[in-house]
Amino acid sequence: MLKATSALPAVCGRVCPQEKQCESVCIHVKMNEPAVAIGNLERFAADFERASGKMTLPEVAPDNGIKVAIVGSGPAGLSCAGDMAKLGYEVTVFEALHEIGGVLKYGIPEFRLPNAIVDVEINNLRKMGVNFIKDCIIGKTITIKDLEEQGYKAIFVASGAGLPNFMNIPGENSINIMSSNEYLTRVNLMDASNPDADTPINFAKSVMVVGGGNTAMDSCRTAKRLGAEHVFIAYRRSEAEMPARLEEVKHAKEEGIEFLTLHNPIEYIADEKGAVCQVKLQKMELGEPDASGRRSPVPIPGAIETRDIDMAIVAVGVSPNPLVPKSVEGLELGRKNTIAVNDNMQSSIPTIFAGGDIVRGGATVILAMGDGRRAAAHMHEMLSK
Amino acid sequence: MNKIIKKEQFSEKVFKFVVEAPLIAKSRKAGHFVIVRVGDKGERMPLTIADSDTVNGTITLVVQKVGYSSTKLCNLNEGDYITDVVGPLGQATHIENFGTVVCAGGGVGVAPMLPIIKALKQAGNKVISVLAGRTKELIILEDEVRKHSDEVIIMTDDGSYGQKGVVTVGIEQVIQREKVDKCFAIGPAIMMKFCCLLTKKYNVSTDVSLNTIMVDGTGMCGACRITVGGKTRFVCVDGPEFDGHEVDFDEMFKRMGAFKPIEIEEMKKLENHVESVLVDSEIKIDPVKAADAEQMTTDTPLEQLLDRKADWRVELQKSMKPKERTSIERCKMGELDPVYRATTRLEEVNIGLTKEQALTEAKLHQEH
Repeated sequence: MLKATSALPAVCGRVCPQEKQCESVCIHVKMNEPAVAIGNLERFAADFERASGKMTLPEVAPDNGIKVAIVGSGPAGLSCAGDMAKLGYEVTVFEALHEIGGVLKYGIPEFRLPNAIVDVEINNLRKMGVNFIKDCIIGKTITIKDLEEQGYKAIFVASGAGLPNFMNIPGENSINIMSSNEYLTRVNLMDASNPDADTPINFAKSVMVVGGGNTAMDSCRTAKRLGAEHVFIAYRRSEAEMPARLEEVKHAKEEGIEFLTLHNPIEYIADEKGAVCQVKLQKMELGEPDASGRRSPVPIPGAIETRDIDMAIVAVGVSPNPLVPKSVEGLELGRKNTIAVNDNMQSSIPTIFAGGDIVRGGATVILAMGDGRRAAAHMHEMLSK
Repeated sequence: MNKIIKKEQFSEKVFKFVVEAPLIAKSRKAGHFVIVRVGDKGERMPLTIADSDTVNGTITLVVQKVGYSSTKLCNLNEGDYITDVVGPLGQATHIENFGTVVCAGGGVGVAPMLPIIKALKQAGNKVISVLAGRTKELIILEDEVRKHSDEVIIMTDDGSYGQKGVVTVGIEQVIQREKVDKCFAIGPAIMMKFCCLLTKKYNVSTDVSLNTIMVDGTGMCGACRITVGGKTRFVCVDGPEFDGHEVDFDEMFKRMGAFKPIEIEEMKKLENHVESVLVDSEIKIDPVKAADAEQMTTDTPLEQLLDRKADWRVELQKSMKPKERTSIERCKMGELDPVYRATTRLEEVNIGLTKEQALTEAKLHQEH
């Protein structure tokens, strides 16, 4: 039943913020009781099926001979690929990196989502007939126009929010200050902390992670696992406003991560080699609610704290990767180079659909998967006409 | 996997590779680069494309052994495969008819300069190329450069070939002799910095091609960020070519040294390096769960299973009083001990529900 309605239950059951989604509308919450552990059950069912050796593949309609292309193999791309394959389309997924899985592989650490789980889902898609091409950047290696010439009738762009935000504060380009994307990619995708892997990573003693989302939690917990003695989160609002899943915050605290809330870095100091050695943090207090409905942080004049650090990981959000949107002529863009789509996930060019972070900016795995499924439904509708 | 069609040694440490990559060969332009990876545990390494052949579907890369990964690549031979080649990446060189252009290539930087020289010549420019190296054998691609340049000046540090002196001496000769409208400089970071200091004095606009540390090469990580005109830019997507007079070279030097001590260690392991074979992760089957699943198979069609008013559902709902149901406490999933788990990156923190937990929790779920 679960598989009929959810694209990747083993993944969702692990990484979705259920307390903000399914569990938030649970009737038990209205009765002032804790919600049913829907996420945990979802995970249990998916894991049980896998371990039982009785994995079933969804029914696949007979091949209808219509080629569709999917750009990006993250959660949005995979869920769209699955649905289109079920409907009988010839699906090809193009991935820029050398591994299939997108953020599920490069971003989310294995202690939260093991790669083996993602690989099982990808293999299932392969068995359903989905074709994967890695090392191929749409807009660079081949263009959307090339795809059309090769007979692809519709294209779903799910290229993700692969552009890290920095804070643009003095000293931010010092050595050992990196985006969470870089840090997590080095460790997760490139296996940099393994001595046998070629990609280097510097090991630090005292690490600051800036931000309060899931990526910040992943970064600080990874730093701890790589042997850092002291890891702290610097977040400009209070804990109540943190966007991270409750469970991640709880786990991080249990693992000894210090939470320095209402603190915002304003400057980094580097040593003679150019490596970061100190950070200046501005203390904040909560003011009036802002556009997001959360109380906005206001600096307390003169309250500045300096801390010694030898690494900083910046996890203050991501922006859509402009690579694909900019390569397509006539494609209407939204805020910050997102692809503008209608309710059917259709862009200004009717044969091009888009979803996930390339449309939303930085959002969640479940929203991306929802987009993938909605795009598939409407793509099918369009191609059936 | 991309096959090496041809390998040629230019000097002790510099090699030319012709690699099969038909799609890249077709879409690349002067200034573009690729990311290559050698071996399953290989690093992603950016290399500028020196040439391409759309008929044979190949691209040409010129590689200098400088660190661990480039040495690993240089040790491959004709017929071997490069694990990954992806591209073309970056912005293409801005080519127009500037008038008279000086193209200064230092060492292995002549390779990425070659397509720019060709394109400039084709656009109608008068191209004067300055090739520089420490010694005669480090001057590469001279014949190809001559073919597309109006004039070639060779500079060697030891005077073993061409004129004795550094690259900037050659550039200055031209600037003092005639009006130069534009300059391109590609080579070691320090060489580009000094070329720019010189051309700034003479007010000749100069573009440089930067080869910083990168991971993905698509704008995703920001490892390659530099400061240009006071603003942070990403070399991989905003570059690799920038107005050299605006680049903060000193910051770039420091950032490029970011992993040096580690690189030296990586070098040491090269001799003993054996490519480990990556085995696909297999699914482990749990016999107890397999037996359970055997009993659980059902022929009931999906529509009936999903039907909220189905008999089996109603029956299940009646089997327990709502009060009894709501008195069940929400289960707590097991997790690894915090002290232990903080030492292991690959073990999942949450260990999942047991069958008993799941069944109990599911009862709580049945009322709606």
